[in-house]
Amino acid sequence: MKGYLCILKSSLMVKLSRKTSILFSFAANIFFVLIIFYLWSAIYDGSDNSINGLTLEETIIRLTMATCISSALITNIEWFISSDILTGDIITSLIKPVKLYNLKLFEAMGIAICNFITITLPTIVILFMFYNSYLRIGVNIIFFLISIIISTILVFNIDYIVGLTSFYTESIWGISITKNVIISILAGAVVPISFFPSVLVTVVENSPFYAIYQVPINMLIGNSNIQEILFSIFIQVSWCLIMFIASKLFTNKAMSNIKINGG
Amino acid sequence: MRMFKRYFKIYCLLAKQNIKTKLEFRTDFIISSFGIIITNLAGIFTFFLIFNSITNIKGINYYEMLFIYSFFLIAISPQQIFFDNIWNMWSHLINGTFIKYYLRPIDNMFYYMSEAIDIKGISQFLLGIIMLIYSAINMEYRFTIGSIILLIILLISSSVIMISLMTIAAATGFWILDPFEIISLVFKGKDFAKYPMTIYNGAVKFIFTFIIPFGFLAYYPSMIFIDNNICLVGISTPIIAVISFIITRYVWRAGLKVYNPTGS
Repeated sequence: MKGYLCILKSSLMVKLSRKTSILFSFAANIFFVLIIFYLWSAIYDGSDNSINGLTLEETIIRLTMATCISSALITNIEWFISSDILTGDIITSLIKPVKLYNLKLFEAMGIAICNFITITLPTIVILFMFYNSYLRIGVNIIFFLISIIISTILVFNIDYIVGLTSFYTESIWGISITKNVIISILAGAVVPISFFPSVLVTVVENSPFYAIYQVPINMLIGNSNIQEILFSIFIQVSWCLIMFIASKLFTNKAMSNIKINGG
Repeated sequence: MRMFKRYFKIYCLLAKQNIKTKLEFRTDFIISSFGIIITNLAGIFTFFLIFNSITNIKGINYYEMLFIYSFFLIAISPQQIFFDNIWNMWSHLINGTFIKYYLRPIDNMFYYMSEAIDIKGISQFLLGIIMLIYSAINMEYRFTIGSIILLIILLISSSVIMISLMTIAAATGFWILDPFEIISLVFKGKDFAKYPMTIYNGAVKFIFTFIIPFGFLAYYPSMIFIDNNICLVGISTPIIAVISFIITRYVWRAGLKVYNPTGS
């Protein structure tokens, strides 16, 4: 365990040292937040106070939070996994007495923590400087952090599967951007879920995507009681486990199909 | 005229090689094209969801919004397809392999850009054209031969603006060696152009009109067809395109003099 924590720490340190990269990622996040602000202000301009049960403030808060959380969760770890597979480096990982899955998991968490500190937290702070009546401060913050950690692991499982597809195709670019887009839309990060047609809402609420963004967001705003909070964390953990099993199954299938170039 | 023919022949030769290599990875091509189409369909789906609940954004209805979006997709495609080598600038600049482009008797920028072609961008281009026709049919504007020619000229102008913006971003590499983050930021910034400029407040609108001309990528030219009125801003898109390209050439040339591949 100590070894894995070292990996997390080194991954975090490496990411934190790339200061220009952090600055540009933060700027890109600000771009998205600005677009959300302007676009939705214009959308609500012609209407009454609320559309589909959400006011302008609620929509902006939810979408902004989803955007900055996604900045933390999108670790691009699938590219590192893919690169290992394509160069054949994965063989060294397989021989060593440490599992590739665990290695990459802690590496991804290091990246996620860096992104969280440098992008997510500042954005949330700025957001609630403007909209402080919507934020609940209390024990729920701890649940929020727990929820984010579970989301990170959930997204990691999905990323792991995407990275493993490198066993079958040279470039995961298409699959990676498809995954990112589908997660964004179905998790309610682009348009709030209340805007979805009712059929789609049921589908989304029973999918792992809902658990990725909506659960942590609901921890910070809204009025859930302790039972609802614990229940939603339970749902999150369940989806996490399901995706974990899926990634293990896919690993077994992919390994049996191993095909490495060169020595 | 003879120079143009010569450059065209060289480009076809380089492109053919490039496309042959890319098509070796057929699964890649299919998956990547699929990925681009899904991404852009998601954009359309977003507008669909929004317009399910409201009728217009600042006076622009659903089909007019789709028109702007498809105009945007078509305008960004040529940069994506023909100027894909921009993303590799950091590698050539840092490793010194960029020196190769100084040594041939053809234009440096042309040679560098023609080394990479991104054929999966073609699926985005085709999707854009289909959506453009679909939204145009459903808009109030009546298209004539004349207006279609105007539309094509405007599309070409907007493409040139996009190409200019990305190339200038790449050219910063001559000074700072790794322009990847800047290129990436400009690329993400283009998303501001998908939406009507009227949603932005005065200062932001000013920036996107006069400083970084994102407004001319889709909104201003499209408004000629949405408003049915040859407004001054929209019609100056080709002029902006020419100015942008001249600035690009100037910046590139200045960068070539400053870049020092072998030294510090």
